Amino acid sequence: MSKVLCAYLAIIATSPFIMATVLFVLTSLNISFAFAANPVTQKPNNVRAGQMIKKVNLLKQPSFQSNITGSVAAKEKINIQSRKSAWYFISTASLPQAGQLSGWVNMLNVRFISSAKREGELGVKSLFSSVNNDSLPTVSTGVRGFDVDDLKKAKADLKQVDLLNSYSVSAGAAARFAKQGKLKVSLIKVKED
Amino acid sequence: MKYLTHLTCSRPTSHTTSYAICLALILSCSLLACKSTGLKIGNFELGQLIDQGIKVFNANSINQAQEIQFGENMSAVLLGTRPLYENEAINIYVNKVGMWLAANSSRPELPWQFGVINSTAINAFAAPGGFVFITSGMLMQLENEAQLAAVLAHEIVHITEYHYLKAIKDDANRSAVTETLFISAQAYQDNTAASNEDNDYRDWAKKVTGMAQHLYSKGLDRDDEFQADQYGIRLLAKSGYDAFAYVDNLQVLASFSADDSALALLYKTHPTPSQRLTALAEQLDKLAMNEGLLLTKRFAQAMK
Repeated sequence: MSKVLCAYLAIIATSPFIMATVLFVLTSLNISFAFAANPVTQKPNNVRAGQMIKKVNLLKQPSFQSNITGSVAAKEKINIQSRKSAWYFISTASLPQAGQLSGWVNMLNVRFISSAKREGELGVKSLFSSVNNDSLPTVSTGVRGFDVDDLKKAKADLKQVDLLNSYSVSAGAAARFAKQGKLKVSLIKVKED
Repeated sequence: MKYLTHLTCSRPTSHTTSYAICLALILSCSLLACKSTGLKIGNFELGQLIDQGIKVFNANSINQAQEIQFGENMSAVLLGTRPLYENEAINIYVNKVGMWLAANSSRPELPWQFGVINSTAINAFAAPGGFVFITSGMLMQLENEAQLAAVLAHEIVHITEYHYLKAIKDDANRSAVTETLFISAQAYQDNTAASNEDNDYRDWAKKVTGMAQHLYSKGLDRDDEFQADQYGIRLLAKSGYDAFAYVDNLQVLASFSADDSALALLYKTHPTPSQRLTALAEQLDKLAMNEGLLLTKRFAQAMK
């Protein structure tokens, strides 16, 4: 009798986890379907607003040999969804939605539309805006800038040089760090032959 | 230029004063020569160094030890303009990324040092001998480790290709290139006859800051900037990063308004991001098959 009770209690106790697992599996399936429709192998960056600098063809695949699926005009506003090597997967931002096109374009034909991130606006905000994260500080008030005038006022600071030196790491530490990140040296030469 | 004013014989107002100054110089030089005999930095005889202001330094014959000291002196002025961002973890992270790139560069043997300068300006700097800086303002624009590596790779190439030394060699104001630039404040103080340390330091600092202000306000040769992009993107690819992060960076810079004050010095000293993107087109074709890493998560964790 007690065995049955135990089993019953165990099922009740674990059922939320089972439900969560089922949900998780469903969600991940859903995500993988979405990716299957959109062949992105590189980790996508955040969607950014951009503009074409010239009229180009929209391609089905990120390659010059790919089929053409349409074209985008010069200065057309677009959204950059993702990148694969030198190619952006974009969609036109024009309305109506039914008329929007998408496809691959070479990244050199695209410029971002300014959405310059400022202090306090992004992930590193907790680090760099020590005072107040909620308000956007005015930029380059001169106090924290680095301009010709700031250089003119500068004095050589030897204590800062010592501090800099204290942060340096060995080549061995850097190699371990690279290995942890799975970075591998490729055969590319820095200076071409 | 400020630093020209202290070249002693450059502005004799009359025969009498110039005679007096030269006599004083001859006297002090002979004193100094006695005092500094036998002291060396690298292969560099200090006895010849102390007659600053008289002999123009020959920039062709700078050895590595002098190059590093020159870079350290320039770094002291850059860090005197704005100090380091005092977060050890972030600075060490930037050092690891930078050191990995430097190890794959043509001059791995330099004592490479990387630092985050606490400034809202968006910029990065290098100084000869292995000193590389990125501003916190620039760091904030980045989304992944490959983009950080792209910024550092550009600066590393300025050092491996001797762009700053070339700049002082080609400089129209060559007379400002005195031997003082290549010795430390301490060595300068130890080897000048004058007993007043403060005065010695001020004299040294005046020359060093004058040169740093000149170099970093004027910037490098435009062709050297383009070369730093060409080699920089290849160094990035060689080190296993996604080379196109380099283009992402330039795209971000291109998206700023041209009169944004945060970019004033960068724009003054570099070709426009659009020009740089166009110049990189050929490299992009060559690196098209490159499949490197972005390391977005590791970057985000390091910035936490």
